Formats: sequence, structure tokens, C-alpha cells
Amino acid sequence: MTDRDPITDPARPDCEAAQAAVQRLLDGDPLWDCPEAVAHRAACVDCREELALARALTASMTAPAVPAGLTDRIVGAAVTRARRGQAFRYAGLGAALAASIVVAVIAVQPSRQSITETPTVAALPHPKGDAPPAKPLGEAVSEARDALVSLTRRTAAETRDTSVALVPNPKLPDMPDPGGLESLADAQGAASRSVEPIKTSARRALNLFLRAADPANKPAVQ
Amino acid sequence: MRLRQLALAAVLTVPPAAFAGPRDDLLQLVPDDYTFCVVLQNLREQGQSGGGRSFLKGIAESPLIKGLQATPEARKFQQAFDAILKDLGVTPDQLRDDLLGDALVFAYRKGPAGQEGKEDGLILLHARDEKLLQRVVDRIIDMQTKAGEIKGVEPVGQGDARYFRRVKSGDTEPADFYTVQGHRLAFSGSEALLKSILPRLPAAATGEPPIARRMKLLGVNDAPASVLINPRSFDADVAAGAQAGKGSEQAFLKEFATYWKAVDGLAGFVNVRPSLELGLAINVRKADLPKPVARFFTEAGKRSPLWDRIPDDALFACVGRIHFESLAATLGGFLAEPDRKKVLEGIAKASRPFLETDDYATVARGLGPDVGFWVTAPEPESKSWCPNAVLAAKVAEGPDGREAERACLKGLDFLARMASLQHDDLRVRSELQGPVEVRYLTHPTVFPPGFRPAFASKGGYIVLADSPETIGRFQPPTGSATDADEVPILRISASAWRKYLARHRGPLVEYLAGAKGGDPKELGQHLDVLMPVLEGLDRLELVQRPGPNRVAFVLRLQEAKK
Repeated sequence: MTDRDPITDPARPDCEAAQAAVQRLLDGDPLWDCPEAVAHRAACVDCREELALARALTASMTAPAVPAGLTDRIVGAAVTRARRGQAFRYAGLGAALAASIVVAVIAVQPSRQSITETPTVAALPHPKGDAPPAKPLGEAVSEARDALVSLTRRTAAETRDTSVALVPNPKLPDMPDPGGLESLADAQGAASRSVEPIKTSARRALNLFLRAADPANKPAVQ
Repeated sequence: MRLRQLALAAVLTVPPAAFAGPRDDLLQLVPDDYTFCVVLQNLREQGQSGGGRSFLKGIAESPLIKGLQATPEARKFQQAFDAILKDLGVTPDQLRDDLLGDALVFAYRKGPAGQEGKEDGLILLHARDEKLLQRVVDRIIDMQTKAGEIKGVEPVGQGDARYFRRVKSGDTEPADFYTVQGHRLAFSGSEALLKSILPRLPAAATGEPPIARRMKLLGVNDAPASVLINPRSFDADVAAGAQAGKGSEQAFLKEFATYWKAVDGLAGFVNVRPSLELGLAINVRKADLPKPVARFFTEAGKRSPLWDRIPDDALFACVGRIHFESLAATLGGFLAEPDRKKVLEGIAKASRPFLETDDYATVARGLGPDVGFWVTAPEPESKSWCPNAVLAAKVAEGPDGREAERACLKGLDFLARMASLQHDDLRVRSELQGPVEVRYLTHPTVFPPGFRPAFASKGGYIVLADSPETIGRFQPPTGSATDADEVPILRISASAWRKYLARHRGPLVEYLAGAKGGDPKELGQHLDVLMPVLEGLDRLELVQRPGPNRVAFVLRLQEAKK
């Protein structure tokens, strides 16, 4: 296995084909998708989300702006993160928290452009029947949402990397394995299952509200 | 019409807190069998007070955020957001104050088991400026019609029962429905749901809506943003889960179902005054919980006297009251009997070298419930950059406590000697501090300067520390646990970290880089990213707010005093 091999989340063994497709998309492979991945995504919200993120990422990287090896670095960072193991599993929670604060900060920072435009907009509200905007409203909202999702994930990843880089990982003395604790694996799996209905419903609720902002006929990918 | 854009914009901006009036006018419309209900209130007041917050300012000035603001995603978001507002003909202030400033509610009902697609949702908005609301709605309809996103809008019904059907352009796209009545707007993809609230829409709330009452019970009544979860909406799922699996998987799910039945309400919430807080609140009927759990939470809901021994400027402190006996019984309830036995056998095997008794209940009873760990900056006169650290666990009085004390000291001694076997030059030494015997480890190169891990039994506590000197400074508390409105669990002092890093940044970075095998320069850059955030922050705290049939955990970011 190399660092560029697709990483399959052990918790999602059925997602391998879709994850490999996303990897090919990031690699710039024009034939990145395959029927198996398409069929899987139709039923898997996680994989649809990952594809949307990858698309947003690739769309935002115009050729001159992409530093050499950026994709390698992104993939490399993802591989490194995936291999850091369970010790930092819960660092994601804190990172997500930080990310949401950060996104809020960015969201409420008015751009220079909007500051100068504001009085004009306020003084001259659009009358009904005015010229249509450059971009359909649904599309603009959809774009803002996708950009926000990408930004949140990027912020979470960078915050986590910064935090992890500062946390020492001391080597503890080797201890004999007393055994018996493997019995906890079933309970651990059940703990995850017990909150699954809430997680699934929360995801569906979010999709229900956000999907409404999509233009007509756009696939329900969040 | 695209009222969901307004909803999205609300999520994107810093959320609110509110007058009960407009909020309750909306909450009375939420169906009782909701699954999730998101309540945003008082965005206007909260938004106006948040501009100069030093912590948010610190974050905004962090190199990390400055870098993120230049990313394609951030630029794209900002451009799209600006374009939306421009197209709608509203300013950011109008959006925050006149449209979203009163209250915004999202309610979601999940579909029945096996028919998840039969879900529905409701968006409710109370705008201060009803003319602006109507204008924006008209503008959205106009824009979308011209852009071909919708075919048009059809009125349905008359008078107060009148609403509109938005017909989508796509042949397979289902229509959605909305109505605007005065200051209120209601939007839903479900015609039946929208029709069901129409009779109550024009009226102000009379009495307290059930969700508002639940918010009070959860202690989130004034939270500017909260997400309420209706546990009853998941009863069927939890009951079905309890029948699935086998062995410990089934045992866990059955035990979980027992707990779930006792939960009356759940909420996540955000407060911004006087400090930024993120929390989780649970309404639970304690009488319906298994006895060990009730005992565990009763003990955990008291303030430990160890907090009296922790300096305000500790870099890190975490203290809890852990009733080990009830904790063990609680955790044991989640395992099937054969697995519980296996775990106990594993513990017995691991503890055999130092535990003389097979009666673990004795040790569990003898240890705790006060347990704390804290880290402080080295003394000003110290030449070492290595912080001082203490881990202290209370030992009960009586035979159980003596047995637990003996087991702990033997175990620690065993670990120390085992470590000395694995590392050349690692020595186990001891010294007397009055009547207290302190054992500690030394190594000429492995440990940071001044670090000599030590342990002892002192004043009814088992104490582990970074050095014998730190144990010498530890004064065991003599008081008892007390009831409190707010029980601290964890505290990180940003101001102490600022001072510590200003003094010891160089050697700390060198040590961490050596320990992690990284580049000191790169590690220093990571620290520099965090420094502006620390500038605006005084402390971060995790606290528990116990209440009658309620427990709430709150993460609080206390801003630096100006």
C-alpha cells in the first residue's frame, strides 16, 4: 500500500468504490467515476457529501493557483491524519467546535466591498420587475452553502492539525496485556448504534432544510 | 419563494437570545410530535453587542484565520453572500435586525420507521419589519420566476386560511408552500403541515407553549440559539434497537433503552452573554434511573474541595467527584454477564502483582470520590521550564480506604520498578517529608529538566506529581464537597498560558520538537497561530449545572478583561 492508496473508513466498508472515485477525482483523473460508485452514492449520504466537498475543492483550484504538489499534500495530510490512530479521535470534536466559531467570525466579517455597497443597496431597493441578477438566487445560495461546508471542513482540519502538532505523545512503558478487555468491543459497537437513529434523523433534517435552497433539478447532494 | 435563504443566512451569522413574545408566537405553531426544533432568538441585540468581543477579534486576527479568509472557499462564500443580499435589496443590518432579529424557528418531524421519506419540516419567522418581509418575499418570487427556478406561485384558500403554492420548474420537483401574515412567515414542503397551523398563525401565543416550557426546564429559555430534541420521537427506534444484536451488544442497547425512557428532554445551546457558552442540557427523571447512576450523578453534582487547592492561574485543571463503586456498577450494566466476568478477570490479572485482595469492591469503595489533576507554571525562581503537575485522589477513611491506599502505593511502586527495568539509568528513590514517604524516579537524560515523577500518600490523598517538591507543596483539603449552582469540571487559563509561553517558549518548543521528532521552527509557527487567540481569552471552562431533574454541561470561553 502506498500513501496514495484510497483510505477506506473501517466504519464504512461499503463505501470503498465511492471513496476510490473521490480519490481519482482529486487526482484529476477524467474517468474518475464508475457505475458502482454512482449506484452506491444514490444510497449513501456520507459519500455524496464527500463528493460534493471534493468537487468544491477541485472547482476552487484554478490551474495557476494550485501550488505544485498541493493535491499530494492534501492527500498526504489526510493519510497522515487517518493513520494517527485513535489517540486523537476525539480531537475532531474540539476542532469542529473551533471551526464553527471560526466560520462565524468569518461570516460576520463584512468585506470591504459590502461596506461600500451597503448605502447604495439600502437607498435603492430593487423594485419589482427589475433586471434579473447575474446568477439565479437558488444557485447563489447553493454556492454559498457549498463554500461554507468546504470552509468548515478545512478549518476543522487545520485547527486539528495545529493542536495535534503541539500535543506530546510520550511513550509509555510496555505493559503486559491482561486480556479480557476485547469483550468491550461489542459494547463499543452498540454505543455507536444506540445514537445512530438520532444521527440519521439529524442528517436528514439538515438535508431537508438545506436541499430547499438548491436550484430545481439539482441532485440532493449536501 | 426562497425563504430558506433567510434561514440559511441566519445559520451563517452569529446567533441570538430573545423576548418571549415573538418566539412563543412561533413556538405555539410547532407540532407536539416534533423531532428536532431549532430556536434562534434575539439576533438583533446579540449581534449589536458582539462586535467588539476581544476573543472573536483575537480569533479573527489569528494567522490561521487570516489564511483561511484568503482561501477560495471563504472568498466564494463572501461573494455569494454579498450577491444574495444585493439581489434581495437588503443590507446586512436589515437582515440581522429587521428580518431575523426577533425569532426564527425550524421544526422537523421524522418519518415513521421504514418510511423515512415521510418526514416534514416547518420554517417559521417573526420579522420586526413586516413591510420589508413582504418585499423580500415578493423579490425572491420575482427573481426565481425570472430565472426559471419556479414556474410561479398559486394562491390557495381565502382570508387567514390563505397560503401559496410554489410550483417548481422541474416536472418531478414537488411544490412547497408558504404564507405571510403580518410579521410572521411560515414555510413548509408539506401542505398538510402548513394547513394545520394556519388557524393559529394570526394569533399571539396564549399561555406557555409546551416547547417554551421544555426550554425553561432545560435551562435554555434565554439561549440565543438552541436545538431541542424530543426523546419520544425516538422511542420506537430505541425499543427496536434493544431487541437487536446479541451478547454485550444487546445488553448495552437494552440498558440504553432504560436510560432513554427516563429522559424527558435534550437540548444543545449557545449563549453569548456574559460569556460565550456551548452546552448540552438533559432533563432526566432521576427516580427512574438505575440506582447506581443516580448515585453517580448525585456525587458528581457537588463541588470538590480540591478546587480550593488549585491556584486560579493553573495552566490546566480537571477535578471530578467520581464514585467508583457506582461507576463500576453503571458500566457493568452495559455488559452481558459473560463479558462482565471476562473484564473482571482481565482486571484481576493486571492487578495481581500489587493487589492482595480479590475484593475489588473494597478498593472501589475506598478510593475517591474526589479526584483531580492540575498543571501550574514552574515557580518564578525555578530554572526549569517544566510545569508542575499534580494528580490527587481521595482515600476514604476506614478499612476500605486503607486497602485502597495500600493497593495504589503498591501498584505505583510496581510500575516505577518495571519502568526502571526497561530504562538504564532510571532509578527509584525515596525521601521523607515529615511523616510522608515520597518515592520518585530520576533519569539524567530521558526526563525534561526538573522532572522527577513522584508519588506518596498524604493527608488522605494518593498524590502523584512531577517532583517531590510539588508533593511537598500540596496541602490536602480538609473541607467537604458542597452543593453549588455551578460545578467546575475543567479549567484552562489562557492568561496563565500567555505568561508561561512568554517566558518558556524557546525551551518548550525545543523539547516538544525533540520528543515528537519535528522541526522546532515549524512547531513554533503552530504556537504563533494560537497566540492571538490566547490574547483575547482569559480562560476556558467546562462546568456542570445541576438542577432538579436536570443536568447541563457547559463549555465556556471567558474573555480577557480589557
